[in-house]
Amino acid sequence: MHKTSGHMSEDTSSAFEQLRTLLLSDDWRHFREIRDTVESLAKEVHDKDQLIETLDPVIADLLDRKIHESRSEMAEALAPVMSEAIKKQIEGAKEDMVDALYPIVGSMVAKAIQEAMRKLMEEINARFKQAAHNRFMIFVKSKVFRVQPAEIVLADGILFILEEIFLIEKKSGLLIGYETRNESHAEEDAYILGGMLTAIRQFVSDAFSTAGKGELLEIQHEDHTIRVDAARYTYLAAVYQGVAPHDFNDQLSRLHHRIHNRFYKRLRDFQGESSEFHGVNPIINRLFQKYRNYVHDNQ
Amino acid sequence: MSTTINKKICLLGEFGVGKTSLIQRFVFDRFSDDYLTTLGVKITEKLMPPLKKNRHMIQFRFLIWDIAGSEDGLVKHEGYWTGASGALIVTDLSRPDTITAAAHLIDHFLHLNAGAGIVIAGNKTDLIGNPLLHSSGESLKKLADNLSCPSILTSAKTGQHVEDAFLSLAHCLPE
Repeated sequence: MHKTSGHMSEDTSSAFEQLRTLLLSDDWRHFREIRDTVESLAKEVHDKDQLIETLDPVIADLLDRKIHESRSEMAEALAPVMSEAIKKQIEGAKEDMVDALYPIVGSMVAKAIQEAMRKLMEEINARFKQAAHNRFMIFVKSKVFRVQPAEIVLADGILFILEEIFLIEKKSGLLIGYETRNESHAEEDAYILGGMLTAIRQFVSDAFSTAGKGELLEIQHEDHTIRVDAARYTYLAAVYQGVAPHDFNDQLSRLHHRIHNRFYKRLRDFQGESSEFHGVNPIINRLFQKYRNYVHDNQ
Repeated sequence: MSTTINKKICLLGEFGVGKTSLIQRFVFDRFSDDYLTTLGVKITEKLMPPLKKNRHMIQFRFLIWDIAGSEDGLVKHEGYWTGASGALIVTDLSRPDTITAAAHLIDHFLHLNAGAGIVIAGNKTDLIGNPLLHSSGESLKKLADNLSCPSILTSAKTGQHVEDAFLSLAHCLPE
């Protein structure tokens, strides 16, 4: 009985197997296909070279579409790495970068030079016209300095006139010292100008959110320049016309340093009493003496 | 013989209280008012009459920073406030909110310039018949009393008490 029953069980099992094969053969085939596809995809993802090969044809299209859809988001996402990328590129392939930028930078430089040359030519023409009236003096100067007359005409064309110097307390903008080459300038105006200059410096600092870290060092208006040297309690502002000598900023800074060293305690405790600073103006005046009748290159 | 002492003075108050008109009554003007809209400040100068302080004759030269006011009670152009020895706080008696704002301005100003002198001006007394003038005047007095500083009623239109306001400020400036 047992044997018979065992045979029947085997037959039944085989029959079930056949039935399952008949019923599920299509599903098995699908399963194997899916498994092969998943394995193949997993291989592609884990294999770096193969992944690059797969994505390469679509990556350009993807970026193009993303930039087209959300330009600002892309810019925001890429901005932090752009400067680093450019720096690396310059380090790695300087020549390539030069070649790429040359058409832009080259034309910009050329344009700037053209403009500078045009201005220089205008200046030279004006100087030569004026020189026609002073031929005798130029002849004498050229003999005295033993240089070509044309050099004298050009050197005279590059002006430097130191006009005013203000010593101003940083926080309040109050004037501490003031010297001018023009005696008709009222000192009363200097108090207001000192204040306004302080307000402008503050405005620039606020506008650029430098929070006291940055300093406005120069203001230019046509051929006038205001050069500022800042120290702990004061700033020294020099107003001049033309082109400053190469050592001027250094001289201004040294002068300021001298004033600061000599009047340090009084500057620290400044309460608006300018009579405590009588010694400041003669020190400032030394700079006027140094650059009085200054002519470029003839010295 | 008096000693001249230069002082930075701030003219503060809400937009439209009459600060600029007030200063025009008091000083000789050299620069355009356009600076107020561009830079947010305009500076004028006034040499005050000599006065006796602690047995010494002194004469103040006021460098007055007229600083553009805000319309929303917020502190603006704070950078211009530093290094000041005193402030004339201007309010508009026909606008009680400007007195409330003045309390905030004074608090902030003294935080930046500890020990500075303060005078509060109630401007536009010329608006006779305005029902708010009386109650605003009382609020102003109360504010001044709380802060132990002088208050003065002014009119930039007629010039009434404008000079007195600055003289009063000269008296309460620190040495």
